[in-house]
Amino acid sequence: MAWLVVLSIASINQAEGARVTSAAGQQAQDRDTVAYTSKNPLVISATRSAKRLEDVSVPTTVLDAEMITQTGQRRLDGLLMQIPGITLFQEHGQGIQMQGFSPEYTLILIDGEPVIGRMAGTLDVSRVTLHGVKHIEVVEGPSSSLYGSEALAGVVNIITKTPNAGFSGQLSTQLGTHAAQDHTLRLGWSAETMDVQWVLNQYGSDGFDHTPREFGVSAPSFEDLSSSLTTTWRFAPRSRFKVQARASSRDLQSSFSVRQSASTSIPYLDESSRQDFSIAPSIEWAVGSRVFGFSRGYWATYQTDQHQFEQQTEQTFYQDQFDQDFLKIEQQVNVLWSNQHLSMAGVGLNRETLGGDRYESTLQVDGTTGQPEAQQWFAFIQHEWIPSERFELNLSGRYDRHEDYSPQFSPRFSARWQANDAWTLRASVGSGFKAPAFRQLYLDFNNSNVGYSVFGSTKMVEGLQSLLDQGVLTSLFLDPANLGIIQSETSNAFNLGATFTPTESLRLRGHLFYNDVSNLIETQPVAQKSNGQFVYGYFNLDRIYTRGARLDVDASRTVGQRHRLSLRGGYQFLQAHDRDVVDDLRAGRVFGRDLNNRDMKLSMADYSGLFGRSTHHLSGTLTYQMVDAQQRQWTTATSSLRSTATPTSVSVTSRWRSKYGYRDLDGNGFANREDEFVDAHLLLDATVTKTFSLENTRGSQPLQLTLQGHVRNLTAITFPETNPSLAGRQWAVSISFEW
Amino acid sequence: MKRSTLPIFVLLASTLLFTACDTTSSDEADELYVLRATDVEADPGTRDPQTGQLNSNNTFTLYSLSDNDIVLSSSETDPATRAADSASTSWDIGFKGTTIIFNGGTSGPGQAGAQIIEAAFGSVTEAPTAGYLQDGQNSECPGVVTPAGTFPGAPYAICTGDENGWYDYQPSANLITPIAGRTIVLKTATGAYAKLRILSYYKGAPSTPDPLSDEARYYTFEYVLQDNGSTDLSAN
Repeated sequence: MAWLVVLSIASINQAEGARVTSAAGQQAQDRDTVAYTSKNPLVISATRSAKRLEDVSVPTTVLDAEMITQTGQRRLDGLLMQIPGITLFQEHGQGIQMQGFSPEYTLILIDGEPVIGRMAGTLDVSRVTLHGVKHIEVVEGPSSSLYGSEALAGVVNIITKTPNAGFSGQLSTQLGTHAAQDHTLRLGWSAETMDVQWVLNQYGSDGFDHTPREFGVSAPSFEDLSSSLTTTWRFAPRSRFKVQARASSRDLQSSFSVRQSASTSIPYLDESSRQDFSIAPSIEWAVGSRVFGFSRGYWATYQTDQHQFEQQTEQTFYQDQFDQDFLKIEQQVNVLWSNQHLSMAGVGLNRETLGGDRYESTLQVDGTTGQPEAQQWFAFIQHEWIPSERFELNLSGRYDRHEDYSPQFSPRFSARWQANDAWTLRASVGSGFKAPAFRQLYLDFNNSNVGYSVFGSTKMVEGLQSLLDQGVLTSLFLDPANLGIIQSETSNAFNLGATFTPTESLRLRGHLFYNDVSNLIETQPVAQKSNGQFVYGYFNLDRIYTRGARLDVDASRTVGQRHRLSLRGGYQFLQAHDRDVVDDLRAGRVFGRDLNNRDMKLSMADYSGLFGRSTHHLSGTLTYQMVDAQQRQWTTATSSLRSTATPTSVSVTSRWRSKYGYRDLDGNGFANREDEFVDAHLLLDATVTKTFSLENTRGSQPLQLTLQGHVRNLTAITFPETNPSLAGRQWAVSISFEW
Repeated sequence: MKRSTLPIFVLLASTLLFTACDTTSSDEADELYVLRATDVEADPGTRDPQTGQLNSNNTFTLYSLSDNDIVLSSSETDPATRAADSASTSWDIGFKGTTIIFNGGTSGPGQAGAQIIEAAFGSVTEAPTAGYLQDGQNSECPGVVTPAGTFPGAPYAICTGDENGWYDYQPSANLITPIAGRTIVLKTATGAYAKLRILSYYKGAPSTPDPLSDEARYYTFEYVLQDNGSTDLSAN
């Protein structure tokens, strides 16, 4: 709790940019015309148009370049973890948990375009390199009113840099424990009407093993290669044409063993690969001073190939190929009616095609065969009313219509009121949704070993019919004719928050959140086969709620003339509960067993909620910097050079979470017994940074050399059984040359 | 897999329990105590590693609650001995694999019958006077799902099959777990009331059994027996 003391004595100069009361038109006015300040940057994710962070009425957090540098993070997963309440969820990649939701409920965007490719719902955020990133915007609470499906828990938008004027570039290398490496080359060129930026990144690790005596690794070895090319052409004032292309691939080698008896197990190897590619052409245009808009196209593909086989015999254990192809066309128009009224409207179309082992259906009805293909169109509107500098209302809504699940309307209403110079209040109410996953819609799966079958909702009627025709069904639990169309998983949520800025050096932001989620999709048997196994389908069954409170602190203090301390961090309280379990607990229908196997009745006090959720999270990054720099100057015949050595800065990041449930041993479906929890723990990272810069006094771009040393998981806390992907202590050094 | 020290505690605890029982029963005859039976074999056997088939005697262990002891072990194979004991009223409850029988109805000559009450063992303080079924009388048992197909449930007082009676079966882990909050209330062969909870199906009653290393088909259970004819089952 030492940082609370720091906080109470903190007083700094908070750089406060000019408040943009009317957000209109700022986006199109380009990067240079609006002063970017670190504490109050322009964000675009909250309203789909540029707006000052302080003027946004929904809970929004910005992780800026300074924070990326100070903490030495190279991938998105490491950075997002610094937000209080965001935790990583390791399942088929590093997913993130936000407001208590599992990874499939958070939409991940790069410059506003959705990143596709989820495995079992998880979008592996470690796919995203932080090189070439300007800042990350995180909007919590549902944003489906602007972004549609997946934006149920929130939205993470990665905003990429635009290159500095002239030629610029960066060459950087990081090497660390477990042969971890990250090499990057970034080249940029910017002229009056044109920008080009190219980023090439290689990232990899040999993985690690907590239990070397047992066959099978804790984290796989992998190599990841990614590249992006962004070209911007400013063809007219406040108008530009931009094409962003990205490609990446990852090859992964892993191993595991399957126990056969107390003393024998069979070793398996796992080789998998992933390729993804996307291209996003867009035009930003303006008509007069009051109308501007975006025309955007986006095409993305994602492919994975996984092969698991027995080490000795090389006999295949599991093989899966998956192919996803996503195409989006979208048009957005913003109209500034007056200084007080700003409207936005948009329409768009998505087309998605799936391929791969699990989706190549053998069911042929109505001439539809092979790969599932679906179209969706959507329309959204937003109106912002800003009657005064201190007050603002925002109303938005979006309608999504998809071929294979029921249409969805998602409204959101939010308001901001700046009571005085110190206090700002924010409130938002909205609904979010997540479309049924591909397997829930299109799966056509017959398990040949065990003999059960699973059908996605669009395959259920044909699937049951085909099994009936084969005469292998003994009983039907429901009439397929009465099956309704599957619905999206939906939530209704509110967020209520306040920002308190008592001094220029201290900002406290707090908010309460509540998400009421229904129609969660679960499997349920629909028929029994003559082999005794069941046929399963997907149904809207479960209801949960997540609720909690967040407090964020942003403080800094200059001690004397030379020392500067800054702290960013916060606390989250969270409860994520299943409503049916809560009902059963209240009715006294839930029992558990103690460690001696004795049964007992459980009450609400014994309920730990959904697995993997900690009730308490604390996180913070404390940075110490010396303010004054040592300078030396040389003057030659033609120019004058100045070298600056910034004194060392030290940054320590801590993340603490209370215990969380990870398994159920006594049959009630949640963790209540001591041995069903992962213990509370604190993880510490530290980074030491030293920067040298060489500057031509005529003011051109400085040359900058940055040396960093990192240690992650300083206290080497590991959970080999319950969280194998958490590595022990890791060291790394990096060098970066920027011009 | 961590080795548990639980069996030692179990032994100690049962020793203490029985000692306590002996010293107090003379003073306060009406006080009831929780008795414990540890690792009662229920026809254990060996599994053929190739086929997964169990090789066992296919016999019940018969248990007396009043003696807190085995009357006839499933390891006893002499037909004459088995027949004599089975036909007596010296046993109350029998175990073979996950199947539990009571000395009454189709299972034996006694008056035993049983029912499951949806409550924690500790909160069952009074035996119901009605609702006991004898083996062979229970027409409500759901079908039992097995890899070979679904079969009609045997009409035992305590139904067989996953979730139907006293246990839950997880196919992925091949694990049998007693369902918490299901207390068996029974009448013994001689008509006395008792309540019973099963703690474990594995030898040594580990708190986290591992079916690959812990031997299955060994019951550890606790019970309270009321031998004065009343329905009071509140125990110390």
